[in-house]
Amino acid sequence: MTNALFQLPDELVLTTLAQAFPCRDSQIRALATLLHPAAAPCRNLVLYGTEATGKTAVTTALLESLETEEIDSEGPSLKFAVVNSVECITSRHLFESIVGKAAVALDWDRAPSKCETVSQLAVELSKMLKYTSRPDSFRFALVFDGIDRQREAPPTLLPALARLSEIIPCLTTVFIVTSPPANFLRTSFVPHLRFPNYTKAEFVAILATDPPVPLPNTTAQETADLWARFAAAVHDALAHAASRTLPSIKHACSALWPRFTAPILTGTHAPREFSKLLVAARVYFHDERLLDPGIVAPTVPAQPAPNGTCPAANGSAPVPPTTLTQTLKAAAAPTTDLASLLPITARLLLLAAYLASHNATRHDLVLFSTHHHGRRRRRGGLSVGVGRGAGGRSKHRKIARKLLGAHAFVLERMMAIFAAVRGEWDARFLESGGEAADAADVGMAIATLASLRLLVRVGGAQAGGDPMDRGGKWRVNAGWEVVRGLGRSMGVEVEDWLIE
Amino acid sequence: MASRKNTPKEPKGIKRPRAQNEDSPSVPAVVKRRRLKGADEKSGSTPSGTSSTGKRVVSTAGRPPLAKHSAIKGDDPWEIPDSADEATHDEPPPPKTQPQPKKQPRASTGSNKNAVYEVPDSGDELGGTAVTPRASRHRGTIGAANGANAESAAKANEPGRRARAPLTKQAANEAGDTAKKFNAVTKSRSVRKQKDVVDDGEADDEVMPDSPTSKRRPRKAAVDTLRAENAQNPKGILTPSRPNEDRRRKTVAFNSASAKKPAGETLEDALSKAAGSSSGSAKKPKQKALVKTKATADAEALDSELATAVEEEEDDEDEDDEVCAICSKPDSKRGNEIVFCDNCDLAYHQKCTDLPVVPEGDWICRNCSQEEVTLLAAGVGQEKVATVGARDETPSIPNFEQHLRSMQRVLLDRCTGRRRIKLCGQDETYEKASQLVEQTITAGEGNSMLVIGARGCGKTTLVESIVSDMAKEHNNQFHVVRLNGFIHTDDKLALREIWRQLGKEMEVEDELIDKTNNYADTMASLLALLSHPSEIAAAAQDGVTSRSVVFLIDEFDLFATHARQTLLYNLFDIAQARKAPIAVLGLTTRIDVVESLEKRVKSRFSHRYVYLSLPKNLPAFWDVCKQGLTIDDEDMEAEGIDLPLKGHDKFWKWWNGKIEALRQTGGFQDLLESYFCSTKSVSAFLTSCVLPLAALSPAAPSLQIPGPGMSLEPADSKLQVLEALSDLDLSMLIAAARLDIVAHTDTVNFAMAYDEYTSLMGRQRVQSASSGMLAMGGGARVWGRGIAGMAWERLVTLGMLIPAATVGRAGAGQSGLDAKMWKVDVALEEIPSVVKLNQVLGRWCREI
Repeated sequence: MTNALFQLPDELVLTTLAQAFPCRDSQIRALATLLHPAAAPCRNLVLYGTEATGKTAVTTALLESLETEEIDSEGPSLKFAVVNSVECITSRHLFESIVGKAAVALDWDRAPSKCETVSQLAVELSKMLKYTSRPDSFRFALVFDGIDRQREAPPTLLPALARLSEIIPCLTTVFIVTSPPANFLRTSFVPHLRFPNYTKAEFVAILATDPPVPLPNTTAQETADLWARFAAAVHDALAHAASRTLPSIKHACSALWPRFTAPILTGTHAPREFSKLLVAARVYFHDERLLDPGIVAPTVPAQPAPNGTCPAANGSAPVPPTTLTQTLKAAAAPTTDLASLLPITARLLLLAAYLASHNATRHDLVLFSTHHHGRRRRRGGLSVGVGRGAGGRSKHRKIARKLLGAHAFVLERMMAIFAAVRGEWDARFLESGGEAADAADVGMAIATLASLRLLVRVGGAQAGGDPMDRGGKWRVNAGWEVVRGLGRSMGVEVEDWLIE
Repeated sequence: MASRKNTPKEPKGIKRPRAQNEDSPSVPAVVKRRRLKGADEKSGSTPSGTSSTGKRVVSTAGRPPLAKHSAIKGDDPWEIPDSADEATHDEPPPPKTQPQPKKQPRASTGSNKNAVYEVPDSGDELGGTAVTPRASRHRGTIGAANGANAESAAKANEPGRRARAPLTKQAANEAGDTAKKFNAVTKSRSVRKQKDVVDDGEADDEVMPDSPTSKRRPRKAAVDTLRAENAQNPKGILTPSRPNEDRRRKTVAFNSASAKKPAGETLEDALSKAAGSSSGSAKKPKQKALVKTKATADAEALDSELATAVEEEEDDEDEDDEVCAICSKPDSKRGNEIVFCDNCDLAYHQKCTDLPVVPEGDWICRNCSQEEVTLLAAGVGQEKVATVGARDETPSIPNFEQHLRSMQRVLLDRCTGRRRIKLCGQDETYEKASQLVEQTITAGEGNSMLVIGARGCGKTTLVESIVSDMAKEHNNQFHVVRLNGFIHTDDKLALREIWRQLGKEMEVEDELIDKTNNYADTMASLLALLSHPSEIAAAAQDGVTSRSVVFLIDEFDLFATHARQTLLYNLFDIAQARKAPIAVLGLTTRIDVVESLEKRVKSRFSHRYVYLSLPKNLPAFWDVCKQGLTIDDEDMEAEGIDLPLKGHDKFWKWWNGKIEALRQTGGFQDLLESYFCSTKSVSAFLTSCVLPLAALSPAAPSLQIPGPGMSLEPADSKLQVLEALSDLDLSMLIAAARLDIVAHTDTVNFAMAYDEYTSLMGRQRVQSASSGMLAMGGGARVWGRGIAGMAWERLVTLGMLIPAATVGRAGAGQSGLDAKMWKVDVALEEIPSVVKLNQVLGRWCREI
């Protein structure tokens, strides 16, 4: 048995990588040691850590550089394939993409057309790696990215994949997971490499590697310094508090930077005056939409910019957040306000549906009966004291019914509620100057609501039958805020009609 | 209360001398002991009764002193923020608490005054001799010193936050936070005191090392005497031994709390105790009186001590609720005013932030100005992986590098599992199993056997080394079929694999596989093949039995789960009926695997087992582990070490000496023992050697285990993920976990968690508003539903929330973020133990 000598990976490669991925130096070194064919290549390896900590990026970059490093030298060689489980919708898909990618990496032209099971996978990989003669020091690294998110994975999938490297000696399997359960590979011991989340200093260091374009009338150094401090402030205000990942802090920084530096552009403040800049931009640091862009975001962030720069520019007190949010609400209102989108009958039906979903059936008589007084006996009101336990709390707090989500109701019941409240609410609506709801086609309104998914048929597909079947079960799909707004648009305080 | 303020001087003077008389001969010694005791406590090894003592006392004492102070404050100005004297016997004053050094001398000069405003001891004081000035001065400072000690201890726990006592705010009706703060201090002070009482009662005979800090002895003595007196007080509600013991027992909690937990907790305790106590104390006048005596004594002493320094502050203190974020004192006077950061709204003293003049316009605190960031970032960039053992020099051995490198190769291959290591202490097992295989190969017997043992105990190593030995010995006169229960998940796959491995052609096989009825076909042909050895034997020479087949079935227990156990049945049947020379070796971790076999299968099994055990004791464990660190002489050649190379013997002598030396080091023994005690897993130990071994180089040839680099250990638990979470994520998680307890539901949805979050946040805001303090940390703001939804989804992604099984039809159609029900995978009490929470979140975890 001849021995190749032990040899660590090239220091140059590691240094380059460490510069490309700051704050991951120790991980890069350990990983290189455990993957390099001439160092200490292990059979299985688990990399774990939360999202956006560089697991995949570091691994891929490292393998690439190790692979290219080996090409020119005669010595040990390394090939690799990365399979992302998120891209594979079934385990068969996973197996076939493993085989496909391995075949590409190894220039293997006889890749099979199909590969349905792990057993076949093992055979195919064996054909490529074991039964073909390879140099002694050849290693093949197979990276399973996000394998813990594989869909339709049988329970034996992970242990089976971990056994591949027992069957094929020159194979290294790398599992990239979020948080591995203990001994999830069912094998004796697997080295685990942790990728912890970044600390504040590391976040700042990472962001500092990519400073923005120097601002006009400042030097690059000044801009870089300001950027670092700015990034730290963003970290404290937003990232640490609410969303501690590199992408979100990057996004927040890039979104805030123009507004933050606006006073410098206008010449109000010098880039050295960090504190003044910070105070001027203070309101933006409280803007949640930096972290939660949303679908309609493109128009919205543009909104506060003119608002905010003016006070900052003339040095007066910044806009109080309330006005900012008000303007935003005003901007967002026309698109989402159901009250202006739905006809009156549909709105009434939706309210009725909400009441049907959120009130227990036994309260219906109390709420909606008009038998005694020509109008209903008493309305809600019970909701105030009952839930929170008047006079000493019960042993356990009761959860408000509206938090528990919508319950299913029979269409008949909703129609009855609709009929009961219609007169009252419609009359009010008349008084408040709206148009009367005519005897519009109720069925049409229900269909509208259903097509908007504001009303959902429960078990509709399998129940089949007529959607207008009075016995069908439905559920309202609108939240409390929406419904309350809807009610107020008609002068109805929905809360009065709810019994906890 | 009102009368109390008039009485102050005499009792004190009286009491103290008396106490001194009592144990005056031994005062210095006792004092020393006390002192040391205190020091011990602080260093963490204390008997922990003190904490609860502290609490208990506070509970009785919390209110009265307040009331008293407010009463006093009405007409006399001896109020002080008590933290002034920060100096402690074993801790230098933290640099930020600037006032003390100045005030201390002043206090001692003003001793006469102190005597005047001496605290009244309770009415039950015995008469005593006149006070010597010195004694009275000490007495006057006792409380301060004492309080300061305790307090600075508290402060050490939570540097510069809130653990200070704004005695200045002690209006009896003042809002909760004042009480809280005050109580914290009072508590810690009284803890100490109580402790001393205990000491007086029972601990005089304890042997203490000498204390180097002698300058405080007199004060301490006075305290002791005071305490001794209390302890001997005939009415002693406080005095009996049982309460003391009780307290002492609880002290542990306090100490550990003071050593580790954020001070917020102790504050909380104090608060809750105080709340209860203020009502309770009224009913127990006696106890109250006693306690009050002590508390007030301390407080007064403090007051008088600092009186000269603080006169001008009193005006501000009533209206000023803001406390300095660094020293936690509310006083704001000329030259050291409180300034507010324009970004975070926290208050700071000028002196605490090195601000010579109050700046015009906007000012931003050091924290917000992020000045240190550039330094930090630079530091992060510079961070280097420590190189191992750069200090030791290369021994002068010829071809050293070559020796080292080839050794590393072998050892690393062993550690990463690419080379088999020898089995140790399993000779008998090996004999048994290998004999069985040999019988099959040479005599054509059919055999079956189960190899049972825990993971990592060497089952595979055993069978593989048998196979390779047999292959050497018998010149490959047999076939080996390897199956694995994880890979060959049903009998069809397994059969096909057997077929394939037995050398039946791939191409032919492929065609066969494509047939629909191929399972039956494969089975039939396989059976035919195995049942008629003569068919294969025809190719072999006459007189030699046909080639035998060794089946190695890994994860044997999984094959027992296959439908009808067809494969096992057939294999065992063939083996038993001697239709063909096969040996079936099943490897499993389950000791009861035979129970899962069907009757017809079980009856065909030979019921031969071998059990492999993990190393029974530490030396045996080390014998196995040692193979990862060195190579035995007899294995050298087999492992491909170049024996004739010059310097071989010398190198190995040197290396083995190194390993032996390493074996003796404490850290290494700890590591070895921890593996032995926890898992007995050899491979775990070997894996931990990989990086240190790889780090060896001719320049640094010393092995360091445990190494300084990364650990390859798996995570302790899922909870490690919590460290990566943001404050909002944690808040949502805590809110959800709280609901488990508060609302007694085992499932939560986002709407419920967010509702709980906002209500907690609202409560928090009310509290902080009434206390005049801003909540520190990320708890300060309420995040909107959208962001909270993102946090919720992140928790789901990270597996902290597991989807609850939908129950019945009601849950079946639940969709959307709000209504989907989840189970929280973390218990509320686990959260603070894993991640360092800020004060607010910590409180949410504790207060239900």
